[in-house]
Amino acid sequence: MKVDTPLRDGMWSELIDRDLNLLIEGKPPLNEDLAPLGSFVVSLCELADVPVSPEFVRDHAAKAAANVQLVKSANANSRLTSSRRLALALRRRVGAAATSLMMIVGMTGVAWAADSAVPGDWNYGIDRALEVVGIGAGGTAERLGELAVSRGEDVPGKSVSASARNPEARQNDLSDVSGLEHATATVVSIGSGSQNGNEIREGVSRLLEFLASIGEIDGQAVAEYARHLRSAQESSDSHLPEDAGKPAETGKPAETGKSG
Amino acid sequence: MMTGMSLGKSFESVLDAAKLGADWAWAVLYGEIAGPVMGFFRSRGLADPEEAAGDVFFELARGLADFEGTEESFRTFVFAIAYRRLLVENRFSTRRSRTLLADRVLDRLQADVDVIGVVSAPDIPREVVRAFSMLTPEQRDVLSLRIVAGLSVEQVGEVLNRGVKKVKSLQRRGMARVRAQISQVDEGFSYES
Repeated sequence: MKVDTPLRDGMWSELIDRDLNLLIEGKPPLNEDLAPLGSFVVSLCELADVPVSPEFVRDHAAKAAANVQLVKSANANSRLTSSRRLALALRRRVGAAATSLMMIVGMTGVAWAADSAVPGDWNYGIDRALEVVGIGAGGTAERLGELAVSRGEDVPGKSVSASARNPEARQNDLSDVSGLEHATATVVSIGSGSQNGNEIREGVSRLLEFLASIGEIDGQAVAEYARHLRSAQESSDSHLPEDAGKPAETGKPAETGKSG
Repeated sequence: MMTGMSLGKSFESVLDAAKLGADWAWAVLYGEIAGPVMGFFRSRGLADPEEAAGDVFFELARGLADFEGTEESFRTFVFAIAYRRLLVENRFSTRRSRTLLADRVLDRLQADVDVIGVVSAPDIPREVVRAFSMLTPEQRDVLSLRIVAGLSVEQVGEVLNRGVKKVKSLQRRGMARVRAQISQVDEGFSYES
């Protein structure tokens, strides 16, 4: 619709906002041409001046106050639920941490107790076994290197333990010490197949549990246990390469499946 | 003329009490904002401004705990809720509003214009209604919030999520259109009828 207005074209673009602000604030604008808008503004303002009944205010105020209490209560419950959830999670984590700590302390204690063992002591086998996996002396990488050398894969710069260097010599020697050492080597070979240090430690942990369960160190029993570990691992980890970890033979460290 | 709140220094204590759920504090806040909120809804043609205002207060009660700010920003907060309520009303009640307003306004104006969201107060001069009906919805938003709600240009920008320049532009163009409508009426017309 074309609007016929006495205002010059472009006048509104030149209109300063100050005049409109004055109008809206109920003051006369500087530009007289805007004066008729004053009545329009007044009429619209009157829409907000319609009195609100006290009943309406009282009713809605009471509802709002009750609503606030409701929201506060809901928030409190939500916080309570959250705190309960947090407490449960915390309890679970503390439990797990405590178990881990007990295992570490237990294993460390065993390692510490066995560290000073000499041939003939009941825990000498444990000492040697732990040495193989690097608990108590040396590092896991170093011990794995030793085992690699023992399989004929020389790793320059790595020391080779006497026990691992010549396993063939002990092929039929199933003394308590060599049985334990062999079992531990099997555990290491299982772990090294997946490149996972945690699996090695888990295997050693199971080995120690086994030792505790039989009450005494028996080379034959330990070797049997090592074979059991190997077969259990192979059945559960079928994705390993075919040449990875052949079953350990008596008195002989297992194949690790690692190519030199 | 301005319909701004006037609690001044007491605003903070009233707000704190309202957050705690004190009836008296809510009554004070309602006494200050109920009129402008309902006026805003009337200016936008809502059939039941009181019901819409009640919805705004309900939302306000739910969200007040998270509000921190001055009396001015509180007003912006309230009208942001009111504007959302208006959008909901327009979205879900377009057909109903169109029918109601068409019956009420078109008969009076005898003009083929978009009447959604125009003034619904029966005591408003018909020329004002007609002028307002000629505005675009955006211009109505700005002029309603500026004049009826008493918000500043900056506050309107916050409510509408628009820049200050855009709000000023909509205000200028809206007022120009109203002025043009006024020029069309017979000489001697007075809005103060």
